[in-house]
Amino acid sequence: MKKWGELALGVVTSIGGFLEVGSIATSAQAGAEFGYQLAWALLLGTIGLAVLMEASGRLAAVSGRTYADLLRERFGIRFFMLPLVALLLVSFLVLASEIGGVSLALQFVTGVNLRWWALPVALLGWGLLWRGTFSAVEQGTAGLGLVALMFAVAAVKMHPQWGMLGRALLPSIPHHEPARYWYLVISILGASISPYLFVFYSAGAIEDGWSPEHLVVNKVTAGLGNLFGGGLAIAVLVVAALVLAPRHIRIDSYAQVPLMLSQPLGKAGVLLFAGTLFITCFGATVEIVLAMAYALAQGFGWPWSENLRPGKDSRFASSYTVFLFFAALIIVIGVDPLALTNISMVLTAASLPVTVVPLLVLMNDRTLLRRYVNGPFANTALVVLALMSVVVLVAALPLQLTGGG
Amino acid sequence: MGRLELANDVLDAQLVSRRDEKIGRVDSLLLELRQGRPPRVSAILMGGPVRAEREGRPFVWLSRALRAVLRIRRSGVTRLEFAKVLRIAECVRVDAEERDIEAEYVEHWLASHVVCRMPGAGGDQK
Repeated sequence: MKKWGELALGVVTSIGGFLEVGSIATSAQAGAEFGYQLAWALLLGTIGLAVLMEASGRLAAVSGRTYADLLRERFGIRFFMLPLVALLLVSFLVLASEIGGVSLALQFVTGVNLRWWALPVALLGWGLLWRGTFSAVEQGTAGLGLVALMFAVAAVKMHPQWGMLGRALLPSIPHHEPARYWYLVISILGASISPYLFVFYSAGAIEDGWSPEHLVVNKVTAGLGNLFGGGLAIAVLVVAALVLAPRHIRIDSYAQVPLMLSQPLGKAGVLLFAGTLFITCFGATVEIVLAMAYALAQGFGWPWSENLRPGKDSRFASSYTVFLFFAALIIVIGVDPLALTNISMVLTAASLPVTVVPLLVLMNDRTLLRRYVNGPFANTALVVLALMSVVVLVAALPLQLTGGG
Repeated sequence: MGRLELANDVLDAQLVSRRDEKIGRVDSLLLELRQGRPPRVSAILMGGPVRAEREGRPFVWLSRALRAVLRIRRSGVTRLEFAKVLRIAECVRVDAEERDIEAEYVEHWLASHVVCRMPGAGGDQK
Protein backbone atom coordinates (compact mmCIF):
# COMPACT_ATOMS: atom_id res chain seq x y z
CA MET A 1 0.00 0.00 0.00
CA LYS A 2 2.85 2.31 0.94
CA LYS A 3 4.44 1.66 -2.46
CA TRP A 4 1.24 2.73 -4.24
CA GLY A 5 1.19 5.89 -2.17
CA GLU A 6 4.78 6.60 -3.14
CA LEU A 7 3.98 5.91 -6.81
CA ALA A 8 0.99 8.24 -6.82
CA LEU A 9 2.93 10.97 -5.03
CA GLY A 10 5.87 10.61 -7.40
CA VAL A 11 3.67 10.87 -10.48
CA VAL A 12 1.77 13.87 -9.13
CA THR A 13 5.03 15.58 -8.12
CA SER A 14 6.43 15.08 -11.61
CA ILE A 15 3.34 16.59 -13.21
CA GLY A 16 3.73 19.66 -11.02
CA GLY A 17 7.49 19.67 -11.59
CA PHE A 18 7.14 19.61 -15.36
CA LEU A 19 4.64 22.40 -15.73
CA GLU A 20 5.98 25.75 -14.52
CA VAL A 21 6.43 29.26 -15.84
CA GLY A 22 8.99 28.24 -18.49
CA SER A 23 6.98 25.41 -20.02
CA ILE A 24 3.71 27.37 -19.88
CA ALA A 25 5.29 30.41 -21.58
CA THR A 26 7.23 28.51 -24.27
CA SER A 27 4.30 26.17 -25.07
CA ALA A 28 1.90 29.11 -25.35
CA GLN A 29 4.33 31.03 -27.59
CA ALA A 30 4.89 27.95 -29.76
CA GLY A 31 1.14 27.34 -30.15
CA ALA A 32 0.37 30.99 -30.90
CA GLU A 33 3.07 31.30 -33.58
CA PHE A 34 3.27 27.84 -35.16
CA GLY A 35 -0.01 26.08 -34.31
CA TYR A 36 0.48 22.42 -33.47
CA GLN A 37 3.76 22.21 -35.40
CA LEU A 38 6.10 22.35 -32.39
CA ALA A 39 4.35 19.59 -30.40
CA TRP A 40 7.27 17.27 -31.33
CA ALA A 41 9.72 19.50 -29.43
CA LEU A 42 7.58 19.11 -26.29
CA LEU A 43 7.50 15.35 -26.77
CA LEU A 44 11.29 15.27 -27.25
CA GLY A 45 11.81 17.40 -24.11
CA THR A 46 9.47 15.14 -22.13
CA ILE A 47 11.27 11.96 -23.17
CA GLY A 48 14.65 13.61 -22.56
CA LEU A 49 13.72 14.66 -19.04
CA ALA A 50 12.22 11.24 -18.28
CA VAL A 51 15.46 9.51 -19.35
CA LEU A 52 17.63 11.85 -17.26
CA MET A 53 15.41 11.66 -14.19
CA GLU A 54 15.21 7.87 -14.34
CA ALA A 55 19.01 7.70 -14.58
CA SER A 56 19.71 10.13 -11.71
CA GLY A 57 17.07 8.42 -9.52
CA ARG A 58 18.56 4.97 -10.23
CA LEU A 59 22.05 6.31 -9.47
CA ALA A 60 20.89 7.64 -6.09
CA ALA A 61 18.75 4.60 -5.17
CA VAL A 62 21.52 2.07 -5.90
CA SER A 63 24.67 3.95 -4.85
CA GLY A 64 23.08 5.88 -1.97
CA ARG A 65 24.87 8.98 -3.32
CA THR A 66 23.57 12.12 -4.98
CA TYR A 67 24.51 13.30 -8.46
CA ALA A 68 26.31 16.45 -7.21
CA ASP A 69 28.28 14.38 -4.65
CA LEU A 70 29.47 11.96 -7.35
CA LEU A 71 30.21 14.73 -9.84
CA ARG A 72 32.68 16.20 -7.33
CA GLU A 73 34.22 12.90 -6.27
CA ARG A 74 34.57 11.21 -9.67
CA PHE A 75 35.48 14.22 -11.81
CA GLY A 76 37.48 16.29 -9.30
CA ILE A 77 37.01 19.84 -8.11
CA ARG A 78 38.37 21.49 -11.27
CA PHE A 79 35.77 19.89 -13.53
CA PHE A 80 33.05 20.06 -10.88
CA MET A 81 33.20 23.87 -10.85
CA LEU A 82 32.01 23.94 -14.48
CA PRO A 83 28.60 22.23 -13.97
CA LEU A 84 28.29 23.87 -10.54
CA VAL A 85 28.78 27.43 -11.82
CA ALA A 86 26.58 26.73 -14.89
CA LEU A 87 23.85 25.21 -12.71
CA LEU A 88 23.94 28.05 -10.19
CA LEU A 89 23.90 30.83 -12.79
CA VAL A 90 21.18 29.32 -14.96
CA SER A 91 19.06 28.16 -12.02
CA PHE A 92 19.32 31.62 -10.47
CA LEU A 93 17.72 33.15 -13.57
CA VAL A 94 15.06 30.42 -13.70
CA LEU A 95 14.43 30.98 -9.98
CA ALA A 96 13.82 34.69 -10.61
CA SER A 97 11.43 33.76 -13.47
CA GLU A 98 9.47 31.42 -11.21
CA ILE A 99 9.22 34.06 -8.46
CA GLY A 100 8.03 36.37 -11.27
CA GLY A 101 5.44 33.72 -12.23
CA VAL A 102 4.03 33.47 -8.68
CA SER A 103 4.00 37.27 -8.38
CA LEU A 104 2.24 37.57 -11.72
CA ALA A 105 -0.48 35.15 -10.59
CA LEU A 106 -1.03 37.40 -7.56
CA GLN A 107 -1.11 40.43 -9.86
CA PHE A 108 -3.86 38.80 -11.98
CA VAL A 109 -5.99 38.27 -8.88
CA THR A 110 -5.28 41.45 -6.90
CA GLY A 111 -4.36 44.00 -9.56
CA VAL A 112 -1.31 44.96 -7.47
CA ASN A 113 1.87 45.14 -9.60
CA LEU A 114 3.95 41.97 -9.50
CA ARG A 115 7.05 43.87 -8.30
CA TRP A 116 5.35 44.33 -4.93
CA TRP A 117 4.75 40.60 -4.62
CA ALA A 118 8.28 39.30 -5.31
CA LEU A 119 9.68 39.70 -1.78
CA PRO A 120 6.57 38.34 0.02
CA VAL A 121 6.63 35.35 -2.37
CA ALA A 122 10.32 34.74 -1.61
CA LEU A 123 9.54 35.02 2.10
CA LEU A 124 6.72 32.48 1.80
CA GLY A 125 9.05 30.03 -0.01
CA TRP A 126 11.77 30.63 2.56
CA GLY A 127 9.30 30.00 5.42
CA LEU A 128 8.32 26.64 3.91
CA LEU A 129 11.97 25.62 3.52
CA TRP A 130 13.03 26.91 6.95
CA ARG A 131 10.25 25.24 8.92
CA GLY A 132 9.12 22.40 6.65
CA THR A 133 10.59 18.96 5.96
CA PHE A 134 11.42 17.51 2.56
CA SER A 135 8.09 15.71 2.36
CA ALA A 136 6.27 18.95 3.24
CA VAL A 137 7.98 20.60 0.26
CA GLU A 138 7.24 17.59 -1.95
CA GLN A 139 3.64 16.99 -0.90
CA GLY A 140 2.64 20.58 -0.18
CA THR A 141 2.84 21.60 -3.80
CA ALA A 142 2.17 18.24 -5.49
CA GLY A 143 -1.55 17.71 -4.86
CA LEU A 144 -2.44 21.34 -5.47
CA GLY A 145 -0.53 21.20 -8.76
CA LEU A 146 -3.34 19.07 -10.15
CA VAL A 147 -5.23 22.31 -10.78
CA ALA A 148 -3.04 22.39 -13.92
CA LEU A 149 -5.31 19.66 -15.31
CA MET A 150 -7.63 22.49 -16.35
CA PHE A 151 -5.33 22.98 -19.37
CA ALA A 152 -6.28 19.47 -20.49
CA VAL A 153 -9.99 20.25 -19.93
CA ALA A 154 -9.65 23.48 -21.93
CA ALA A 155 -7.81 21.71 -24.78
CA VAL A 156 -10.45 18.95 -25.06
CA LYS A 157 -13.29 21.49 -24.92
CA MET A 158 -11.75 23.26 -27.94
CA HIS A 159 -12.14 20.06 -30.04
CA PRO A 160 -8.62 19.91 -31.46
CA GLN A 161 -7.92 18.13 -34.75
CA TRP A 162 -6.42 14.99 -33.23
CA GLY A 163 -5.01 13.71 -36.52
CA MET A 164 -3.12 16.93 -37.16
CA LEU A 165 -1.86 16.98 -33.57
CA GLY A 166 -0.68 13.38 -33.91
CA ARG A 167 1.26 14.23 -37.08
CA ALA A 168 2.84 17.23 -35.30
CA LEU A 169 4.46 14.82 -32.84
CA LEU A 170 6.96 14.06 -35.62
CA PRO A 171 9.55 16.78 -36.39
CA SER A 172 8.87 18.97 -39.41
CA ILE A 173 10.48 21.87 -41.26
CA PRO A 174 8.92 25.32 -40.64
CA HIS A 175 7.00 27.06 -43.45
CA HIS A 176 7.89 30.55 -42.16
CA GLU A 177 10.33 32.28 -39.78
CA PRO A 178 12.82 29.38 -39.47
CA ALA A 179 15.06 31.25 -36.98
CA ARG A 180 12.10 31.87 -34.63
CA TYR A 181 10.97 28.25 -35.04
CA TRP A 182 14.33 26.77 -34.04
CA TYR A 183 14.70 29.34 -31.26
CA LEU A 184 11.39 28.12 -29.83
CA VAL A 185 12.56 24.49 -30.17
CA ILE A 186 15.59 25.31 -28.00
CA SER A 187 13.46 27.28 -25.50
CA ILE A 188 11.07 24.33 -25.20
CA LEU A 189 13.95 21.91 -24.65
CA GLY A 190 15.44 24.26 -22.02
CA ALA A 191 12.06 24.58 -20.29
CA SER A 192 11.59 20.78 -20.24
CA ILE A 193 15.08 19.47 -19.49
CA SER A 194 16.32 21.61 -16.61
CA PRO A 195 19.47 20.33 -14.87
CA TYR A 196 18.07 21.52 -11.52
CA LEU A 197 15.35 18.88 -11.86
CA PHE A 198 17.69 15.91 -11.81
CA VAL A 199 19.95 17.43 -9.12
CA PHE A 200 16.81 17.92 -7.02
CA TYR A 201 15.44 14.49 -7.89
CA SER A 202 18.61 12.59 -6.90
CA ALA A 203 18.90 14.54 -3.63
CA GLY A 204 15.20 13.86 -3.00
CA ALA A 205 15.80 10.14 -3.45
CA ILE A 206 18.40 10.29 -0.64
CA GLU A 207 16.15 12.47 1.55
CA ASP A 208 13.35 9.89 1.10
CA GLY A 209 15.75 7.01 1.90
CA TRP A 210 15.50 5.25 -1.47
CA SER A 211 17.17 1.86 -2.00
CA PRO A 212 17.24 -0.50 -5.03
CA GLU A 213 13.73 -1.55 -3.92
CA HIS A 214 12.52 1.84 -5.12
CA LEU A 215 13.65 1.33 -8.72
CA VAL A 216 10.08 0.60 -9.86
CA VAL A 217 8.82 3.74 -8.12
CA ASN A 218 11.65 5.60 -9.84
CA LYS A 219 10.78 4.26 -13.31
CA VAL A 220 7.06 5.03 -12.96
CA THR A 221 7.67 8.48 -11.45
CA ALA A 222 10.12 9.49 -14.16
CA GLY A 223 8.18 7.89 -17.02
CA LEU A 224 4.49 8.32 -16.26
CA GLY A 225 4.85 11.55 -14.26
CA ASN A 226 6.75 13.31 -17.02
CA LEU A 227 4.45 11.91 -19.67
CA PHE A 228 1.46 13.47 -17.88
CA GLY A 229 3.39 16.71 -17.33
CA GLY A 230 4.43 16.82 -20.99
CA GLY A 231 0.83 16.05 -21.99
CA LEU A 232 -0.34 19.12 -20.06
CA ALA A 233 2.33 21.28 -21.75
CA ILE A 234 1.00 20.01 -25.12
CA ALA A 235 -2.51 20.98 -23.91
CA VAL A 236 -1.22 24.56 -23.36
CA LEU A 237 0.17 24.52 -26.91
CA VAL A 238 -3.15 23.21 -28.30
CA VAL A 239 -5.21 25.93 -26.57
CA ALA A 240 -2.81 28.63 -27.80
CA ALA A 241 -2.91 27.15 -31.32
CA LEU A 242 -6.71 27.17 -31.42
CA VAL A 243 -7.35 30.51 -29.69
CA LEU A 244 -4.37 32.75 -30.48
CA ALA A 245 -2.91 31.48 -33.78
CA PRO A 246 -6.08 32.09 -35.91
CA ARG A 247 -6.14 35.68 -34.63
CA HIS A 248 -2.40 36.13 -35.29
CA ILE A 249 -1.86 37.09 -31.64
CA ARG A 250 1.74 36.61 -30.51
CA ILE A 251 2.52 36.43 -26.83
CA ASP A 252 4.57 39.51 -26.01
CA SER A 253 3.73 39.61 -22.32
CA TYR A 254 2.39 37.25 -19.68
CA ALA A 255 -0.81 39.31 -19.42
CA GLN A 256 -1.93 37.73 -22.73
CA VAL A 257 -1.56 34.11 -21.57
CA PRO A 258 -4.72 33.82 -19.39
CA LEU A 259 -6.82 35.43 -22.14
CA MET A 260 -6.44 32.30 -24.24
CA LEU A 261 -8.35 30.41 -21.54
CA SER A 262 -11.30 32.78 -21.45
CA GLN A 263 -12.69 31.27 -24.68
CA PRO A 264 -12.86 27.61 -23.54
CA LEU A 265 -13.38 28.21 -19.79
CA GLY A 266 -14.97 31.68 -19.54
CA LYS A 267 -14.20 34.01 -16.66
CA ALA A 268 -13.19 31.08 -14.47
CA GLY A 269 -10.37 30.42 -16.96
CA VAL A 270 -8.42 33.49 -15.87
CA LEU A 271 -8.78 32.58 -12.19
CA LEU A 272 -7.87 28.95 -12.84
CA PHE A 273 -4.86 30.11 -14.83
CA ALA A 274 -3.77 32.35 -11.94
CA GLY A 275 -4.17 29.40 -9.54
CA THR A 276 -2.17 27.09 -11.79
CA LEU A 277 0.56 29.66 -12.31
CA PHE A 278 0.77 30.35 -8.57
CA ILE A 279 1.00 26.72 -7.49
CA THR A 280 3.26 25.35 -10.23
CA CYS A 281 5.67 28.31 -10.07
CA PHE A 282 5.73 28.24 -6.27
CA GLY A 283 6.53 24.51 -6.37
CA ALA A 284 9.28 25.17 -8.90
CA THR A 285 10.64 28.07 -6.79
CA VAL A 286 11.24 25.90 -3.73
CA GLU A 287 12.57 22.99 -5.81
CA ILE A 288 15.04 25.14 -7.77
CA VAL A 289 16.42 26.94 -4.74
CA LEU A 290 16.75 23.63 -2.90
CA ALA A 291 18.58 22.14 -5.91
CA MET A 292 21.03 25.08 -5.84
CA ALA A 293 21.68 24.65 -2.10
CA TYR A 294 21.97 20.85 -2.50
CA ALA A 295 24.55 21.21 -5.29
CA LEU A 296 26.68 23.60 -3.21
CA ALA A 297 26.46 21.62 0.03
CA GLN A 298 27.01 18.21 -1.55
CA GLY A 299 29.86 19.46 -3.74
CA PHE A 300 31.74 21.04 -0.84
CA GLY A 301 30.92 18.36 1.74
CA TRP A 302 28.79 20.53 4.04
CA PRO A 303 26.05 19.05 6.24
CA TRP A 304 22.75 19.15 4.31
CA SER A 305 19.21 17.93 4.62
CA GLU A 306 15.86 19.62 4.35
CA ASN A 307 14.83 17.46 7.34
CA LEU A 308 17.47 19.00 9.66
CA ARG A 309 16.89 22.19 11.60
CA PRO A 310 18.67 25.13 9.88
CA GLY A 311 21.03 25.46 12.86
CA LYS A 312 22.42 22.00 12.01
CA ASP A 313 23.22 22.82 8.39
CA SER A 314 23.65 26.56 8.54
CA ARG A 315 25.58 27.00 5.26
CA PHE A 316 22.94 24.97 3.40
CA ALA A 317 20.09 27.00 4.95
CA SER A 318 21.93 30.30 4.43
CA SER A 319 22.49 29.42 0.76
CA TYR A 320 18.81 29.02 -0.08
CA THR A 321 18.01 32.15 1.96
CA VAL A 322 20.49 34.29 0.02
CA PHE A 323 19.52 32.87 -3.40
CA LEU A 324 15.81 33.49 -2.75
CA PHE A 325 16.39 37.06 -1.63
CA PHE A 326 18.56 38.08 -4.60
CA ALA A 327 16.35 36.29 -7.16
CA ALA A 328 13.34 38.21 -5.80
CA LEU A 329 15.31 41.45 -6.13
CA ILE A 330 15.59 40.86 -9.90
CA ILE A 331 11.78 41.03 -10.13
CA VAL A 332 11.62 43.96 -7.69
CA ILE A 333 13.89 46.08 -9.90
CA GLY A 334 11.46 45.58 -12.77
CA VAL A 335 13.02 43.01 -15.13
CA ASP A 336 10.30 41.75 -17.51
CA PRO A 337 9.38 38.18 -16.43
CA LEU A 338 8.69 36.95 -20.00
CA ALA A 339 12.06 38.22 -21.31
CA LEU A 340 13.76 36.68 -18.26
CA THR A 341 11.95 33.37 -18.83
CA ASN A 342 12.93 33.25 -22.51
CA ILE A 343 16.60 34.00 -21.91
CA SER A 344 16.84 31.59 -18.97
CA MET A 345 15.26 28.75 -20.99
CA VAL A 346 17.81 29.17 -23.81
CA LEU A 347 20.69 29.35 -21.29
CA THR A 348 19.35 26.25 -19.54
CA ALA A 349 19.41 24.37 -22.84
CA ALA A 350 22.96 25.63 -23.51
CA SER A 351 24.17 24.44 -20.09
CA LEU A 352 23.02 20.85 -20.67
CA PRO A 353 26.27 19.29 -22.02
CA VAL A 354 28.19 19.84 -18.76
CA THR A 355 25.48 18.10 -16.74
CA VAL A 356 24.33 15.41 -19.18
CA VAL A 357 27.70 14.05 -20.39
CA PRO A 358 29.05 13.26 -16.85
CA LEU A 359 25.79 11.44 -16.06
CA LEU A 360 26.45 9.13 -19.01
CA VAL A 361 29.89 8.30 -17.56
CA LEU A 362 28.55 7.70 -14.03
CA MET A 363 25.69 5.50 -15.27
CA ASN A 364 28.25 3.04 -16.65
CA ASP A 365 30.33 2.82 -13.45
CA ARG A 366 29.92 -0.70 -12.10
CA THR A 367 31.48 0.20 -8.73
CA LEU A 368 28.53 2.55 -8.16
CA LEU A 369 25.64 0.84 -9.89
CA ARG A 370 26.64 -2.84 -9.79
CA ARG A 371 24.18 -4.81 -12.00
CA TYR A 372 22.00 -1.74 -12.43
CA VAL A 373 24.41 0.02 -14.85
CA ASN A 374 22.92 1.37 -18.07
CA GLY A 375 21.86 -1.16 -20.68
CA PRO A 376 22.24 -0.50 -24.43
CA PHE A 377 18.84 1.26 -24.63
CA ALA A 378 19.52 3.69 -21.76
CA ASN A 379 23.04 4.34 -23.08
CA THR A 380 21.77 5.07 -26.59
CA ALA A 381 19.15 7.45 -25.16
CA LEU A 382 21.75 9.27 -23.03
CA VAL A 383 24.26 9.46 -25.94
CA VAL A 384 21.55 10.94 -28.20
CA LEU A 385 20.66 13.44 -25.46
CA ALA A 386 24.33 14.33 -24.93
CA LEU A 387 24.83 14.91 -28.69
CA MET A 388 21.61 16.91 -28.85
CA SER A 389 22.74 19.03 -25.91
CA VAL A 390 26.01 19.86 -27.74
CA VAL A 391 24.09 20.88 -30.89
CA VAL A 392 21.82 23.04 -28.72
CA LEU A 393 24.85 24.67 -27.05
CA VAL A 394 26.33 25.61 -30.45
CA ALA A 395 23.00 26.86 -31.84
CA ALA A 396 21.74 28.69 -28.74
CA LEU A 397 23.54 32.03 -29.11
CA PRO A 398 22.99 32.55 -32.88
CA LEU A 399 19.31 31.63 -32.48
CA GLN A 400 18.90 33.91 -29.45
CA LEU A 401 20.23 36.76 -31.61
CA THR A 402 18.19 35.97 -34.73
CA GLY A 403 14.99 34.42 -33.37
CA GLY A 404 14.75 35.69 -29.80
CA GLY A 405 12.94 38.95 -30.49
CA MET B 1 44.10 -6.27 1.71
CA GLY B 2 42.26 -4.03 -0.73
CA ARG B 3 43.67 -1.54 -3.18
CA LEU B 4 42.67 2.08 -3.58
CA GLU B 5 43.54 4.76 -6.08
CA LEU B 6 44.42 7.99 -4.31
CA ALA B 7 43.10 10.27 -7.05
CA ASN B 8 39.88 8.30 -7.63
CA ASP B 9 38.95 7.05 -4.19
CA VAL B 10 40.44 9.50 -1.70
CA LEU B 11 40.94 12.90 -3.32
CA ASP B 12 37.65 14.89 -3.35
CA ALA B 13 35.88 12.26 -1.21
CA GLN B 14 33.42 13.29 1.50
CA LEU B 15 35.06 13.50 4.94
CA VAL B 16 33.12 12.46 8.02
CA SER B 17 34.11 12.79 11.66
CA ARG B 18 34.18 9.92 14.13
CA ARG B 19 30.62 11.02 15.04
CA ASP B 20 29.48 10.78 11.41
CA GLU B 21 29.25 14.55 10.94
CA LYS B 22 29.93 15.80 7.41
CA ILE B 23 33.09 17.92 7.77
CA GLY B 24 34.03 18.84 4.21
CA ARG B 25 35.91 17.04 1.46
CA VAL B 26 39.47 15.91 0.82
CA ASP B 27 40.55 19.06 -0.99
CA SER B 28 44.18 18.00 -1.38
CA LEU B 29 46.67 15.36 -0.27
CA LEU B 30 50.15 16.13 1.04
CA LEU B 31 53.02 13.92 -0.08
CA GLU B 32 56.00 13.99 2.27
CA LEU B 33 59.43 13.54 0.67
CA ARG B 34 61.77 11.81 3.09
CA GLN B 35 65.55 11.58 2.74
CA GLY B 36 66.65 8.05 1.94
CA ARG B 37 63.13 6.69 2.33
CA PRO B 38 60.19 6.44 -0.08
CA PRO B 39 57.72 9.34 -0.12
CA ARG B 40 54.47 8.85 1.76
CA VAL B 41 51.06 10.51 1.94
CA SER B 42 51.32 12.41 5.19
CA ALA B 43 48.18 14.54 5.45
CA ILE B 44 44.78 15.52 4.11
CA LEU B 45 44.37 19.22 3.40
CA MET B 46 40.99 20.91 3.40
CA GLY B 47 39.52 24.39 3.19
CA GLY B 48 38.65 27.12 0.69
CA PRO B 49 42.17 28.40 -0.11
CA VAL B 50 43.45 24.85 -0.81
CA ARG B 51 40.43 24.12 -2.98
CA ALA B 52 40.83 27.37 -4.90
CA GLU B 53 44.40 26.38 -5.89
CA ARG B 54 42.98 23.32 -7.61
CA GLU B 55 39.93 25.05 -9.10
CA GLY B 56 42.07 27.45 -11.14
CA ARG B 57 43.45 30.97 -11.10
CA PRO B 58 40.12 32.89 -11.22
CA PHE B 59 38.99 31.09 -8.07
CA VAL B 60 42.30 31.89 -6.31
CA TRP B 61 41.72 35.58 -7.06
CA LEU B 62 38.09 35.34 -5.97
CA SER B 63 39.07 33.61 -2.74
CA ARG B 64 41.74 36.26 -1.97
CA ALA B 65 39.36 39.10 -2.81
CA LEU B 66 36.62 37.67 -0.59
CA ARG B 67 39.02 37.18 2.30
CA ALA B 68 40.27 40.76 1.93
CA VAL B 69 36.78 42.28 1.68
CA LEU B 70 35.40 40.26 4.59
CA ARG B 71 38.64 40.82 6.56
CA ILE B 72 39.06 37.13 7.25
CA ARG B 73 42.32 36.54 9.09
CA ARG B 74 41.89 32.86 9.90
CA SER B 75 43.70 30.56 7.50
CA GLY B 76 40.58 28.47 6.80
CA VAL B 77 42.88 25.51 6.09
CA THR B 78 42.93 22.25 8.03
CA ARG B 79 45.77 19.75 7.90
CA LEU B 80 44.66 16.34 9.08
CA GLU B 81 47.41 13.75 9.64
CA PHE B 82 46.80 10.80 7.34
CA ALA B 83 47.31 8.53 10.33
CA LYS B 84 43.95 9.82 11.59
CA VAL B 85 42.13 8.10 8.75
CA LEU B 86 39.92 5.39 10.26
CA ARG B 87 38.23 4.01 7.16
CA ILE B 88 38.06 4.69 3.45
CA ALA B 89 34.85 3.58 1.74
CA GLU B 90 32.27 5.77 0.00
CA CYS B 91 33.44 8.49 2.38
CA VAL B 92 36.64 8.97 4.35
CA ARG B 93 36.14 8.63 8.11
CA VAL B 94 38.72 10.39 10.27
CA ASP B 95 39.50 10.35 13.97
CA ALA B 96 38.51 13.99 14.49
CA GLU B 97 35.52 16.02 15.54
CA GLU B 98 33.82 18.80 13.69
CA ARG B 99 35.04 21.41 16.17
CA ASP B 100 38.68 20.43 15.41
CA ILE B 101 38.30 21.42 11.77
CA GLU B 102 39.45 24.97 11.08
CA ALA B 103 37.77 24.91 7.66
CA GLU B 104 34.39 24.45 9.37
CA TYR B 105 34.50 27.79 11.21
CA VAL B 106 32.14 29.36 8.66
CA GLU B 107 29.48 26.76 9.58
CA HIS B 108 29.89 27.60 13.30
CA TRP B 109 30.03 31.34 12.74
CA LEU B 110 26.87 31.31 10.60
CA ALA B 111 25.06 29.02 13.05
CA SER B 112 25.86 31.06 16.15
CA HIS B 113 25.76 34.60 14.71
CA VAL B 114 22.96 34.40 12.13
CA VAL B 115 20.95 31.20 11.71
CA CYS B 116 20.26 30.28 15.32
CA ARG B 117 19.08 33.82 16.05
CA MET B 118 16.11 33.22 13.79
CA PRO B 119 12.97 31.42 14.96
CA GLY B 120 12.75 27.67 14.33
CA ALA B 121 16.46 27.15 13.64
CA GLY B 122 17.41 25.24 16.80
CA GLY B 123 17.19 21.51 17.63
CA ASP B 124 18.09 18.50 15.47
CA GLN B 125 15.23 17.21 13.32
CA LYS B 126 12.32 19.29 12.07
